[in-house]
Parts: sequence; C-alpha cells; structure tokens
Amino acid sequence: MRIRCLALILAPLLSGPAGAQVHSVEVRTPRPFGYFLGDLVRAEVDLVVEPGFRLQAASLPKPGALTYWLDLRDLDATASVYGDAQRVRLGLTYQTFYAALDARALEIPGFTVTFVSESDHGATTVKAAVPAWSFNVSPLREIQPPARDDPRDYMRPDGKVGPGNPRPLLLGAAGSATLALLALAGLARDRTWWPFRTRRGRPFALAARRIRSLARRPDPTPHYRDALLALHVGLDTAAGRRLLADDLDDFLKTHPAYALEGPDLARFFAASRRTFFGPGPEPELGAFALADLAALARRLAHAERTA
Amino acid sequence: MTMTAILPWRTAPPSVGHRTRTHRTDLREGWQRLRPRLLVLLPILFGIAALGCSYGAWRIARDNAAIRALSAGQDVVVPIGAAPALLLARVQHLARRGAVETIEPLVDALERQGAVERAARARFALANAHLRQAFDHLERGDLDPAGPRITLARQEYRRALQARPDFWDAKFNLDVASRLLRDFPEFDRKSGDELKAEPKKIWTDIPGQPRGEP
Repeated sequence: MRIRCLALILAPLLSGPAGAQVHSVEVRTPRPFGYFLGDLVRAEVDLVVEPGFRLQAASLPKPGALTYWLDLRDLDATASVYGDAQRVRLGLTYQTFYAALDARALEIPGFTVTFVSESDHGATTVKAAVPAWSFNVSPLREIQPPARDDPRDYMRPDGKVGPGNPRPLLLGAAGSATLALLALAGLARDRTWWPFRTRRGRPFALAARRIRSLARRPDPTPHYRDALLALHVGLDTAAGRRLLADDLDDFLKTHPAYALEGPDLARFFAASRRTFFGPGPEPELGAFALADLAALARRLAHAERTA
Repeated sequence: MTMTAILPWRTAPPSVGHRTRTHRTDLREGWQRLRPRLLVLLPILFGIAALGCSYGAWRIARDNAAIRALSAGQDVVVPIGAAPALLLARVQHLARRGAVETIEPLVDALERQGAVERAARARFALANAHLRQAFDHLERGDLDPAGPRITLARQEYRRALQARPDFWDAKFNLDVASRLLRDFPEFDRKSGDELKAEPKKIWTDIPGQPRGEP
C-alpha cells in the first residue's frame, strides 16, 4: 500500500512495565480526507513490541459491521523483526457508508490488541491500545438539488444488460472445425481412406482392403487365390521387386518393421505355393484360411503405418 | 609418446557419435509409435472443441434474444440456472415492474454462480425497485409502509457497494435514500444497517434550513 501522507499518532505509552514492553503504536493512512459514501478507507497500524511477544489473534477486531456507517472489510497481520524489537503490521480496510451532507470529520474507533510472551514461569500479556483516528468525508452531490416533479428523477437508472458477444466463440468453432478437417485429412491420408485410396507407399493397406472386400463376399472360397495374389502384389510393391519365399529373410532384414510377422509370412508363402503349384487351395483353407490372411494383411498395414 | 597422447582423442568421438545416434533412433522410434495414435486423436479433439465452441455461441445467441425481449418489456421466464447476463436482465425487468419479492432468489442464484459484479448490479436494481415503491407511498402520504421500504433499499445499496465499492450509481442512490431517512447515532445501534423502521421519524431533508439550532 502506498502511504503518501503519514498521519502519525504515537499512542501515549502505557504506564508501568507494559509501557516498556510496547515500544510504539503508529497509525498511517494514505490520506485523511476526500472520501465519499461507499469508499474504502485503508490504514496501516505498526505496533513495535519487545522481542518474544506474540500477537494474540483473538484480540484483533473482527471483520464485519462496526457501526451503522462503518464496516471493517479486511484485516491482515504480518510480523517482522524491527531492529532488536518485534514489529507487527496490521493492514486494515474499512468501508464508510456515511451519507454526508457537508464535509466533516468522522472518527474510526480505536481498539486494543493483546500480545503474549510465554516463558517457563508462565505467560505475560501486554495490551497495546491503537488510538482512534479520523478522516474527512465529502458529500456526493449538492445539498439542495434542482427541484423535480417526480422524485424518481433524482435516482440513477437501473441500467441495462448489454447483449453477449458470440463472435469469439464462433471464430473458435470455425478454427477448430478447420483444424479438425485438416487433421481428418491427415488421418485419411495415413490410412489410405478416400480420397487417398491410390496413395503410393501404402501397398499393404491396399492389399488389406482388397482382401477384406474379398472375404466379405457371400462365398469367399473361390476368391482365395485372388486374396493371395493381392498380398503378393503388396509384398512385391513393398520390396520393390518380385518377392519369392526364399527372399523373405532378406526382406525382413531390410524392412525390420515387419519382423514380427515373419512366421506368418512364411506360412503365407507355404500356403501360396501349395495353392498355386500344389494340390489346390481347398485342403489348405484350414491351415491358413482367408480370415488368417485378412488378419495378417491388417497387421502388416498397421506395421506399415508405424514404419 | 605422441601416439599414446592422441589415441584417446581419436577413439572418443565415435562413442559420442554412437550415443547421439542411438538417442536419435530412440526418438524416431518413439515418434513412429506415437504418430498413428496422434493422427487418430487430433481430429477427435478438434471436433470436440468445435462442437463446444458452437454450443457456447448458440447459447449466447439464444440468451441475447431473451435479453432483447426482456428489455422490450416481454415477460420471458428465465430458469434459476441461466447465464448471469440473462439472470441480470430478468432482475432488471422485474425491478422495472416492481416485483421485488421474485427478485431475491435470482440475486442469490447470481451470487452462487460467483458473478459478483452482476450480483451487485442486480442488488442495485432491487434497491431501486424498493426506493420507487417508497416514493409511491410517500406521494400518497402513506408514511407507515414507506419507512421499511427505504430501509430495505438502503440495505440493498449497501450490499451492492460491499460487493463493488466503486459502484457510483449505487453510491448516488444510497445518498438519495439516506436523505429520506436519516440515521441517528443515538438510536443505540451497534452494528450494520438494521435500523428498525420508525415511521414517525421520517422526513425528507430540506437542507439549508436550520432547525432551530444556533
């Protein structure tokens, strides 16, 4: 708090031993004049006491209405060391509701705070009296305002609520929607969804989609060959050359992302060889069925996205 | 001699390079694992944000329509949980019509919502309604009910000022109300604005005319 004017009141020190224990009491205010009805009146009270004495919090005034025209709104106490003594600073915020007709001085009542020092022989208490201090209030308007027919005209109007502004939220919605669409486009590109179906660099995603559509047909068995071919095409594209069963180990070394699928890829090549060059697909369907093929293609597509 | 001195310097850089390389590989692998999930999460998050913003904008637009209707004098019913601006508009509408009894729960709702500034404005409107009714009584020469009305108005102005000490309109109208009904310190009142209405003690200040004082 800025203290521009120092209204210093040195309280008459208490007589006897207490006087020696309370060194000084100072009340300071930013200004002691120019307050209107409803204004906040701030004051700072510095109490310097003997070291070892502690402020008894219960002895402080309680925030609330003090008199019909004065509220104590806020009070905070901070203790600090001041030379070889102990200083307690009270920050007081009052609010005046005195409807003044003329400029006049009002007195804020004083109060007493208690300090306690506890020792082996018992507790010593000492009271420090904060003196009353005064400030000047000023009237808010002229004593005799111009006469009006309707007394309601003397009042300030109720006021009106302005409409809220939805523009920032609308802009936020538009921005978020744009970003959501962009992010969705990124996701679609990553997953080769429409319109990125023929995207290069995602051969397994294409193969997985082709196999899934084949597996979804009512009678999938005749399409087993097509499904195998689709995965072959995917593998060839991923490897950049025609990939045969013997090349699988080389392929897995150069493309470590698919290393986990090595055993299943070997089973796929075996099934393919039996289907195209062996006895035919039917007996093999149990060993490496279309569903297994579709699952392998899906896992390969997933590995392809993280590669 | 020179060889042994130089050797550690020659061997050191590859190990540092190796460490940074593995570090980079870790980062790249982490990013590659994270990327697909991020790509799924981002459109969802932005979509939720867009929906939330549009809902907020729609609510503001709807409240604005109700606020306009209220200020045009239409009696629009407002739920107790409505937005602070709308509640305040409803309070001001009721205050204009002098329906003071229905205002109090709305002001409480505003205070519960933590809308300190709007609650102070609502209290100000309520106090104005009380004061206008006091003027109605005074104009009819009905002094008995006017006193409590003025006291209620002053209480509400005071509470509005407690919430907002720089509320100049409330200061002004509290001054108007206070000149209708003066406080007397000798009434033995210790706290607050709990003045018991004493209709016999009502008069309007006619300032500048000394009352028999020297």
